[in-house]
Amino acid sequence: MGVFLRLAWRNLWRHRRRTIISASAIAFGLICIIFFHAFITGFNESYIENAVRVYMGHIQIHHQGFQESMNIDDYIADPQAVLRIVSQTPHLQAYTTRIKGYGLTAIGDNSSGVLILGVVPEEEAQATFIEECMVEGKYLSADSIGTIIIGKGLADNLQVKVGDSLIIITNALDRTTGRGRYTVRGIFRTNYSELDGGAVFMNIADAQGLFAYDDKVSEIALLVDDSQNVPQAKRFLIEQLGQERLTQLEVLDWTEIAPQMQQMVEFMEIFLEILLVIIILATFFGIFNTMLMSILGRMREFGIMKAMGTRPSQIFRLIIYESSLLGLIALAVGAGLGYLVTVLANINGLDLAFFAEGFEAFGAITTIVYAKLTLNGFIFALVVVITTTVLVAIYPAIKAARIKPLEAIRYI
Amino acid sequence: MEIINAVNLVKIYEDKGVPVMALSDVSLTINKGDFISIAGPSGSGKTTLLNIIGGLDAPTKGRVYLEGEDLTRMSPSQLARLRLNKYGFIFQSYNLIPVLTALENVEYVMHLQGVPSQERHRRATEILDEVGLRGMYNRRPDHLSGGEQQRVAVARAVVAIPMLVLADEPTANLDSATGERLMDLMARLNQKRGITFLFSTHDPMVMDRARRLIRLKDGRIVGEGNADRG
Ligand SMILES: Nc1ncnc2c1ncn2[C@@H]1O[C@H](COP(=O)(O)OP(=O)(O)O)[C@@H](O)[C@H]1O
Ligand SMILES: [Mg+2]
Repeated sequence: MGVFLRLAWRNLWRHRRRTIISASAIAFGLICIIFFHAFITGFNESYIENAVRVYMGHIQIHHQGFQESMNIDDYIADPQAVLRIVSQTPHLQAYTTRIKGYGLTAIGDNSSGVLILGVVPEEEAQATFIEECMVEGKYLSADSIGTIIIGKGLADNLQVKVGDSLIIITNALDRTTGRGRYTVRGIFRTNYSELDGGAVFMNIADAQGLFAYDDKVSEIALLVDDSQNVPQAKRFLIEQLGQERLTQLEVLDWTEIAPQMQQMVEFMEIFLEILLVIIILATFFGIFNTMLMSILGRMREFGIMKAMGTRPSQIFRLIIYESSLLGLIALAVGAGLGYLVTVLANINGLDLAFFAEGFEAFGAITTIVYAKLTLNGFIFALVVVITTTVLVAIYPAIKAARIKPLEAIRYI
Repeated sequence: MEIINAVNLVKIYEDKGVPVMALSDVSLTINKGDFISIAGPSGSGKTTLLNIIGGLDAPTKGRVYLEGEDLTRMSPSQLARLRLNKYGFIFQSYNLIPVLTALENVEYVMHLQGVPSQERHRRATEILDEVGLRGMYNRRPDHLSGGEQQRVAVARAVVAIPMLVLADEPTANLDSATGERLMDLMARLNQKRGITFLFSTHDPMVMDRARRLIRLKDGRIVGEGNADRG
């Protein structure tokens, strides 16, 4: 072990209390960085994941322009051909085909605009959480013809109960007015206001009748195993659909389907960055004074060392070693605790119900966020903290390295 | 053999705008094997002279030649190398690095010089034995008495066989018996190992031990006696 490393280690323990306090401050900063990084990552991930799994899917395929227009004329003419490709998609977890259009629903004197979704109940249940979101009655089934499930908000608004009948009217493809009477089979709540307040799910066979769609569909939504694999899956689909000359289709990922979600994610990332800067600055100034005092109090010693021929660079090194060791101690403690805290926050989750109003349309199934500790986030936190600790020492180290031996020896 | 030749040294300090003449026209040569005392009352310029000879301070005027080389023209890093390789320093007190043991303090200089570890250890233990600190190798300064600390400082100053050991009032903080034993030690090292000592003091007992006595007053040499007693 080098003499300066040994000196540094022992100097660190000269003022045990001071060192422990500084190390704690650094460790606390580290814990905060690890935790907030994991929390925001987890937040963003569950935010995306929730939205994606409740209804949206990671990727949607429509006829060109349908996402914008919601025009019933923009349908997928040959869903089977598309599904052959979809089923080959790398990282595919599930998919669901839908007929989708706006309509009007009425009961007694009450009426409301609705989003009508004709789905294959089995497929939809696999690709989304809708079945788990049922709060009253039952979810659709393959033979649930003539029945619908509706959002909780809509049900309240129309004062509808399970077992009541609703009239739904829409424009059909054949330019007639599509019209049907459906029994409410169940009520769901997703916490997404646009679904809860205005969506109606029915069997795809019913929707085919209502919209005069025959075998056509409006949308195929896909779910992949991890949001990181979305670009790969999307590339595959565009390429394959192009090869099959199905170029009149659009392949959209969730950032295009719900740009406001992408904005939210970016906002949270900026928020995280600001938070990190604050934590780093607080840590920096939290230990700066202590570090400086500790160096100034030892000037005579540095003077003696220099008088004996110790070079300025060696004094500088000594102090950087001290702060590095301090940082490493803090790292060991902080990384361990930070890991623990984050893992606990991952197992138990943090209930954001309190803020749910602020994060409208966040909740979906749950308002609980599971912090997600990534290796990158962890390493990032360690690097940031050790760098900060070393940076804190730079100024005192320069001061000590530059001290003139004579001045220092007279210091006492 | 002449090792140091200090010529017409003048040192003027500025003290709150008032110039203070700490040394005025001091010339001095030191020969190998000398055991010299700079004696004088407090404020007579002893520390200033030692610091200038030791390359710790620069004179306002005058030159210091060490084996023919002019110290006053050297850069700080050249001076640092010189102090490391040619000098040993003993200060009044708080000489030692507090977190290092007696042995490690003695080894420190050799560390800087790049002496291999076994050699370092051998020389450090040998000199510690010689200064009477056998069995105290692993004590830290705060577990040593003032006299023992100064012995470690002496051991450290001589272990690398410097050309000149500069000791600024090494006994000032010791009681007279302890001080005397420290002088015995330095005298022995001077005789046995031929190490050259230049020390300052205002203590008559210490002056008596010198073989060359240079009296300083108000920054001037006012007399040089040759005690000549061996
Ligand atoms: N850094 C300094 N600034 C101003 N005056 C100083 C300084 N160092 C020493 N002096 C003055 O120079 C004179 C000689 O001091 P010094 O060499 O320390 O004497 P001694 O060691 O014999 O007591 C004294 O008058 C002292 O006050
Ligand atoms: Mg003095």
